[in-house]
Amino acid sequence: KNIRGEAHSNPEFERTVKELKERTEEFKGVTEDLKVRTKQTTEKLYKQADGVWTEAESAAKKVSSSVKDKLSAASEEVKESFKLGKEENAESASSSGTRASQGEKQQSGSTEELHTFFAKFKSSLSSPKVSEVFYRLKEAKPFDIVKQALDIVKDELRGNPSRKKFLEHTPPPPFTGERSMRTEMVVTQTKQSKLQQKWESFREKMQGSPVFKRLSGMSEPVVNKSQEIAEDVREIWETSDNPIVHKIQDMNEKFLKETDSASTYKEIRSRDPSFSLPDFAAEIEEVIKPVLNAYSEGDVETLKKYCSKEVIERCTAERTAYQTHGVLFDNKLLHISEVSVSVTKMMGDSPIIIAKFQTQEIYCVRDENGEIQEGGQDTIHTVYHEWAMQQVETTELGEDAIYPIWRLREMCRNGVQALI
Amino acid sequence: MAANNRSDHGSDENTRLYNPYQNYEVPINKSQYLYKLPTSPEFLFTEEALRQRRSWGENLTFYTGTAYLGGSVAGASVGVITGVKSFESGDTTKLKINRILNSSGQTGRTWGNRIGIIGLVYAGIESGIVAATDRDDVWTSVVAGLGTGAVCRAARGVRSAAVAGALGGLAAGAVVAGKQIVKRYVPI
Amino acid sequence: MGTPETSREPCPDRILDDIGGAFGMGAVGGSAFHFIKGTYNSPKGSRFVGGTQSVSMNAPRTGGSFAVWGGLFSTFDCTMVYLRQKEDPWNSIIAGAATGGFLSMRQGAGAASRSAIFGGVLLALIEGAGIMLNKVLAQPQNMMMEDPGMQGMPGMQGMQGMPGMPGMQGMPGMQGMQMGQMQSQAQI
Repeated sequence: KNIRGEAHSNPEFERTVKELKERTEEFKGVTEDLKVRTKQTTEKLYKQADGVWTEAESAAKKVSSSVKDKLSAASEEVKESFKLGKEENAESASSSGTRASQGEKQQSGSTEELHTFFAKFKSSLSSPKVSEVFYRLKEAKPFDIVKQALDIVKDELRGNPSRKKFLEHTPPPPFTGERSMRTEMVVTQTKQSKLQQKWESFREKMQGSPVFKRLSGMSEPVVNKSQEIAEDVREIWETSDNPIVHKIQDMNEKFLKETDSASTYKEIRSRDPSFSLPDFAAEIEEVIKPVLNAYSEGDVETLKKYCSKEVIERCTAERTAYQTHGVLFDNKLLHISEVSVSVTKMMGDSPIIIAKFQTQEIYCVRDENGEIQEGGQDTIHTVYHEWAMQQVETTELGEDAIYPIWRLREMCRNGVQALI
Repeated sequence: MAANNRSDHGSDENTRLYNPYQNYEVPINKSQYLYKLPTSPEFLFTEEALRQRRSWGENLTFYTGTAYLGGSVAGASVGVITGVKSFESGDTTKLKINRILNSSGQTGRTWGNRIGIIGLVYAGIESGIVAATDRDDVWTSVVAGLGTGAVCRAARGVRSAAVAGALGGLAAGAVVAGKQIVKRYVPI
Repeated sequence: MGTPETSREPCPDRILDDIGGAFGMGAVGGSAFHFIKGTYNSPKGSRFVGGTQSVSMNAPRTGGSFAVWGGLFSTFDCTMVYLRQKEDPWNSIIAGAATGGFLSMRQGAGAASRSAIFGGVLLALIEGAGIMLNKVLAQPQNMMMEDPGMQGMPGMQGMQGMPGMPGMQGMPGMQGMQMGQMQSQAQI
């Protein structure tokens, strides 16, 4: 095994030495100032080469595959430090890379310390992934961890494209554990259970210890007493006949009473906990164009996706009416702007959100022969729209839906303005 | 009369003596009419002389203004390109102009708003740090960048905020370092 | 005694600062307004979250529209200064009208002229208020009394000594000069 390890590590090591020589030759023949710097860097490099050598020796005792991994990681780090030596001011784009090389410098021989360092770094970066780090620590692969950190950064840069759709529904994915409201992070079961086991053991230990018992015994009466006092004060406050107190209570009522829209939000949340208003507005903005186009063309299939049946009925009725009169609308949607949510209210027992937006359309009315009656090919109108979206119950959608879905219940044109 | 009870401004190295009567061929006791004049420009307000940087209000308006203007100009140019790309066959010139105006206005406004907000937050944090610690160097900029990133992504959760903060700090540091390098090595 | 607030920045820089100031004002004011509105309109558990959400949705937009106004206004103001070479209230009135007209140009001539008039009148009101305020704030000088027991007049003693003693000190050689001779010299 030893021999094998040597054989593996030798070519690697030779290569690094070669590189070193090339570097030093490059540095020669430059000014004094540079020479000092090269001396420093060469010293550094020698040290690091030593480090690599010791690492290689220690690693040679282990399994050859892990040796390979580690050496590649080490050579990576050496390269990194070369870069650092060359230009001290430059900042490499990946924070993890610089961290890795710093870790290399601080390294005192044993790789275990390095791993813990990485683990700390990792945990500081991403607390939800701590359990994963613990899990991975057993099969120590620092390079992978670095890679993951990079991946996290990349993910964040891209943003999270997997936004939940409110207006369409797909057959639901298999349910995977809890879903938190704020970050939309999905934590898989195994890790969750790991954390829980840790908690359990910790808790048992703590409860077993006499210190904790005594502490809880001491704190118990204090807590009770304070709770009682608070109760009394509240009692006095609520039952007092003082007019000022009454006035304050009235004001309190007036200020803290939930408005219509607040109760509507509450209702929406209770039906669909993952609802978020900005995402909803963004989604409406995406949907406007297909819906309006489908409406003007009478495309019932598309409308069925987004609209309630009343809207579809009205669409067909209008089309037939216009056709009997021989009126054709040759409108074209040019631009959508200023999408905003204006009102939220309850209609009966289903919540309604009214959204406002402006569109720019070509206004052109033709008769049966295709002659233009009103407007023209390039008459642009700004149209102010209002849409009422209604949340549809899960029971109405059928078996495969988990979350309720929003449907367009009513559309209304508020005004038209000609543009130059 | 004039020379004895005068309040001296500055030390003696910075002043020179001057006699307005030196060109008159008049027998005058010249020592009476020697005036001390400063050789370097003299500030009226000591606060202005001490202050080496902008006040926080100027800082705020300057950063925000440049950010908004730059963002909206960039957005508008991008919008013009997308508008030109979105031409359809059979568009009249009026329609073409309309498309360009719409898309450039839209993207310009949104970009300007976003970058302007970033500039506003950055300037606010930086001024706050300078006011609190009374230091103004690379680290203030880095910390301000960090804070800006964190604030702007706070809505998306802790992890997002942390990563964005790190990136913001790096970017701010890089900009300051780049400025220093340019100042040092590029003769202007 | 702090540094006095001097009138304004010189012209090209003014545009940048105006944009920044307008954006900042709009964003801060808008975020305050929308935060209150958002907290008021969200259910009890998630008031803070609702407030921040409505701020992040609406405040940049408010700031942006303010910034567009401010930027256009000061651009027009600067062009007026450049064209007329004068700095007076008319500049800002004209600039206000031009801004109003420019922003609603696409709604047609009627709407544009209406909003131009509105902008001009608004700015005229603001300028008028400023002038009035200045007039009211300008305090008159303290009157001096015809009072034999006056105290605190600088230079009095020196003045009283003057007329009787033509050659007090100083310029013995120049006493003889007279104005009439100087005039005759000038004619020569």
